[in-house]
Formats: sequence, structure tokens, C-alpha cells
Amino acid sequence: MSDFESFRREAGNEVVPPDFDELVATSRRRRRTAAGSAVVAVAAVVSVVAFGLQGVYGDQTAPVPPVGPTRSPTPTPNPTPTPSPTKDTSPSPEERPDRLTPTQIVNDENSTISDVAVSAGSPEVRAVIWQFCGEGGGCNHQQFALTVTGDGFKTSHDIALPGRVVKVVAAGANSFFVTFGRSMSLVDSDGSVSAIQLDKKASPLVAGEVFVGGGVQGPIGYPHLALNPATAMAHPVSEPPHNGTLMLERNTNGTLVGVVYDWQAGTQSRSVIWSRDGGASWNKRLLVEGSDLVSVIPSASVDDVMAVVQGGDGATLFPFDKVHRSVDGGAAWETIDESQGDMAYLGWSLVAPDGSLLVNIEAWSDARHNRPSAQPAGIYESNGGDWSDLRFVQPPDGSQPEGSVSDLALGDYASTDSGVLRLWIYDSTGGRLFESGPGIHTWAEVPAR
Amino acid sequence: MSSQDFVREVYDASYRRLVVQMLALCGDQAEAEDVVQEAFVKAIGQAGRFGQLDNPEAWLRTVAMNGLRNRWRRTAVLRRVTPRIPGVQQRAELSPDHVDLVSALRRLPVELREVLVLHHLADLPVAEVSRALGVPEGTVKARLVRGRDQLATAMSEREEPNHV
Repeated sequence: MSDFESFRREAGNEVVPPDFDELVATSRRRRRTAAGSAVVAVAAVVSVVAFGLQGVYGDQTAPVPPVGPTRSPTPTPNPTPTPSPTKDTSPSPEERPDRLTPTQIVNDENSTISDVAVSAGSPEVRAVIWQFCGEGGGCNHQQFALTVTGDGFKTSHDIALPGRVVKVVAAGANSFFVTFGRSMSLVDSDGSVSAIQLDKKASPLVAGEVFVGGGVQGPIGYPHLALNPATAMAHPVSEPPHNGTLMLERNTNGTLVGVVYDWQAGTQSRSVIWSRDGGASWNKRLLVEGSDLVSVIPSASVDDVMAVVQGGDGATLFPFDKVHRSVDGGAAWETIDESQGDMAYLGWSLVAPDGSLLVNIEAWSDARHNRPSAQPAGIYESNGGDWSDLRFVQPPDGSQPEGSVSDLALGDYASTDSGVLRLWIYDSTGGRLFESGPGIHTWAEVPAR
Repeated sequence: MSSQDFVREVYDASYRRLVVQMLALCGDQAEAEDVVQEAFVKAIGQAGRFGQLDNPEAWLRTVAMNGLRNRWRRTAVLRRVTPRIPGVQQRAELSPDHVDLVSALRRLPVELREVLVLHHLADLPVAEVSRALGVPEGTVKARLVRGRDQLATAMSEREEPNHV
């Protein structure tokens, strides 16, 4: 999006900030006004009017600055499990109520998969989040439900998720960490639900804990959480000091790897950080001086591979503008410049156990105006450690590749100590779940409800 | 450093950036400056708590975007009850290409415009856009793909770029 980059520069040069002290004076005037008793009556009238208008315009109150890790999440009732019927009980469209039961959401033929988690040691233990989409396929309904199984969906339990942003992560042999709205719960494969207690004090990830990423959703401030599934206690993982955004992933070998979007005094930079002791101590290496986008590629490599992809002009590009890679645990980093060639939009990515790179190309940039690209969208695999040589992988559903948009989302992955990789891929616009393995060249559709 | 000094430091670093992002969202520089200044006035009024934020610029952006949304809601109601009067729009002295970009953005649905601006102008990763807007990451990605396509279509009237 080079248009955006030049727009940002030109428009930014045209903006002349007013004197900061004028804003300070405005703020003081408002405080004085608010404190003035003579205005109380007027304020009361305004409040009445505002209250009346709120019904028309919605909530217009200014958000109060949240306070990062010390903020309390809004309490939300725990999700309630509902036993699954053995057949679809969805009402007909004419009968469909405004709010559906979890089982109706899960079983509706127009519902789509929103997220998937699979127990690393037992692929039959699965959790799938479904979103109700209705017959129009617009998926604008904010109705989600979780279904869990311990036996590959021979039996299952359906659970309501009363929130907008929903995510599920495997947390131990038989349980799943679920976030919905600003709440989080631990759900066992038998359908039992436990509230998670959050200790807001940051500390390193220790043995017995699972890294579950961001748990408490809100307007800003998202700690990366460690969860002990045995006690249902969670806490933020210790982070290095930073100014800006920090995002972490946990590699299969236990290393925490992240990128930091630092900004200071009008300048921006991007760094990679990593910790081998759960966040007790951190290493940091500057990658980019500027505003390029960077993101961590999670690694299931049996070696100590860490990788960060960098998109050059504000978009996330493929072949990558640059890839920063370390194969020796961070002692040395190489930058692979791949700015030549065609461009496309990168979806999920993963370093496989053998050190090869897997990426999902969601769309090529020449696929526009309903005109397909000459190159297929979908999963690509590198030639081992040579990440400059990427080859298309046959889609799991056996369809002929087309140069349109790839809707294949990575639900979960697992690798054994001997380096055998399995992926669970789902069609994010439909209801099909595929399990690979071993490797990524054989696929089987598996039940998702 | 006092709390107010901290807000001033953020102001120096972020004001232009935020105005540009709001300009891309609303297409009107005066309106963009209004909502960003309003966000800073709120920050000054709560400087102590503002100083404890993990990401003050993200908070300011959220407040400014809420300000725009509230204005849009009011405008939508006013348009239903008052005749349309073409008004003068104040804009930065942008090159024709960038005027086209702002115009094309304004023709996109708000939900597509927001993800494009947050991802490509505010440099937020997809996960951060998801959190800022309260929608799943998959939805953000789908909106990015649709938004790029519609933006390219809207701008193709002036040229046919190789990529977006």
C-alpha cells in the first residue's frame, strides 16, 4: 500500500499541531466549569437530554483510561454447558429466535468455524468455536458457541460464548482455555467449566503452566498470560520494558519469541525479543528502524529456529520483503532479502520441525476486480531450509487450486519429539476441518461437531 | 517527569500521526483535528491515569475514533431531519493522488475503512486491529482483503496500479 505510505508523509507534513498549552487551558476550563455550582443545574438538564439521546445514538461516554495489567476485567457469567442432541435441532428460519442456544449455533448448517484447538497428545480431544451466520452468509451475527469432545465428536458438549472476540487454546491434556468478550474460562472435554482466577502480578512462565497468549480483551492493554490448568490460575507473563506494542509467541521448544513495536520521540523501530526462561530474562535485537510491519513466525522446529517476517511497504508481503532468521537460538541472525518477485498477502505461517517454512497465501495482489490471480492462493512450503524456494501444496480438500482467496485457517498444530508434524486446518468460511499427517501432504477430513 | 509532561511528550510524538489516521477515516482535516484534540484534552484531564497506560497512543486513537463515530451517528440523524446543504470541507493541501485516496476511502463502508486505516496507516498488526475493533482476527483479515479490493477498484478510475 505505497499510496498510504506517501499519504502518511504528505498529510503529516501538512498538520500543524496547536500549542499544547491551549489544550491544557481547555482542560482546566472544563474542570472549573464542571466544578461550578451554577452549572450543576444546567448539567442536570444536559444529562437528561443526553440520557434521552443515548437511546438514539448509543453510548457516547468517553472511555476512562484503562490501567493495563491492573485493570479488572468486566465480570461476565461463566459459559453454561448444554448437552448435545444426537441430531440437528436448528429451528427453521421462520422459527429462528433472536438468540440461539449453543447447540443450535453449533449445528446450524450455515454456521462457520471461528477457531479450533486440539490436544497435542490426543487428537480426539478437540474444541471448536462456531459462529452463527444465517442463510445470507454475512456472519454479522455476534453469536458464538463452543463445542468440546474427548472422543472425536462421537459425543460432545456445547457451551454458549456471550462475547464478540472468541478464541480457544489447548491447555493441558483434556482442557481448553477460552476467551470471549472480556472473560475467560477453562473448559474440560467433559463440558465442565471453571472460572479462571487472574493474578495481575506479572511473573515468568514456570513448569506446569501453559502459554495462552492474550486473555483479557479490552480496548487496550493485553497481557500475555500463563495458565496453570490444574488450578485454573493465570497471570501475565513477565515482559521486558517497552514503549508501544509487544506480541509474543511460544515456540514448541519453550522459547518465548516476540516483536516489539517501539515508538519514542516520533521515531519508530521494530525489535525481536526472546526468552528461554519463561520471561525471567530477555534478549533483544533491533531489526528495523522505521514503521515496517513485522510479525513472529511460530516455530515447531526441533532446532532452535526463530523467525520474524517483515513487510516492506505497510502490507504483509510474499515473497517476503525480508525474513529475519536465527537457527542457533539467537546467537546469529541472518536477514533474507526477498523483495523481488510477485506480491501477495500472507496469512498464517509456521516453521516446521525440519526447519522448513509453511505459509498460507490468502490472496495474491493481482487477484482483483473478481479476476483470479495466475498463481493459486493457499498453502506453500519451502524447500527445507531454503526459504527462497517455495512450492504450492495441494489443498486439503482436494480441490483444484484457483488464484482467488484462500480461506484456509490454521486451527492448531502439534509436533512429536521425533519431529512429526500434524496440522489442523479449517475452512474459515465453512464448516470443514482437516487433519494432516504425518507431514502436510496427506489430509483427512475430521468431525468438527 | 510530571504526568502533564508525559502527555506533552506523547502529544509531540503522536499528534500528527493520529490526525492523519483520523483524516483518512473521515476525509475532513478540521474534523480529524477536532477529535484528536478532544482526545488529548481528556488525557490532560486524567493525566495521572493516562501515564499508567501500556499504550497511550492506542488509547488516544480509540477515544478519537469513538469521537468520529459519535459525530457520524449525529450526522446520520441530522441528515434524516434536515435538507442536505453542501458545506465547505477543509482539507490539507494534498496532492491530487492523495485527495483521490481520501475520496476513495470515504466511499468504502466504515468497517472496511477502519481496518485499512488501522492496519496500513496506524501500522497495527492484525491481532491489534482485532482487539481495537473487538472483532475476530479472521474478520479483520477478510475485511482487509475486501477493503483492498474495493479501494483498488475505487481508485482504478484514475490508474491501474500493479498492486495495492
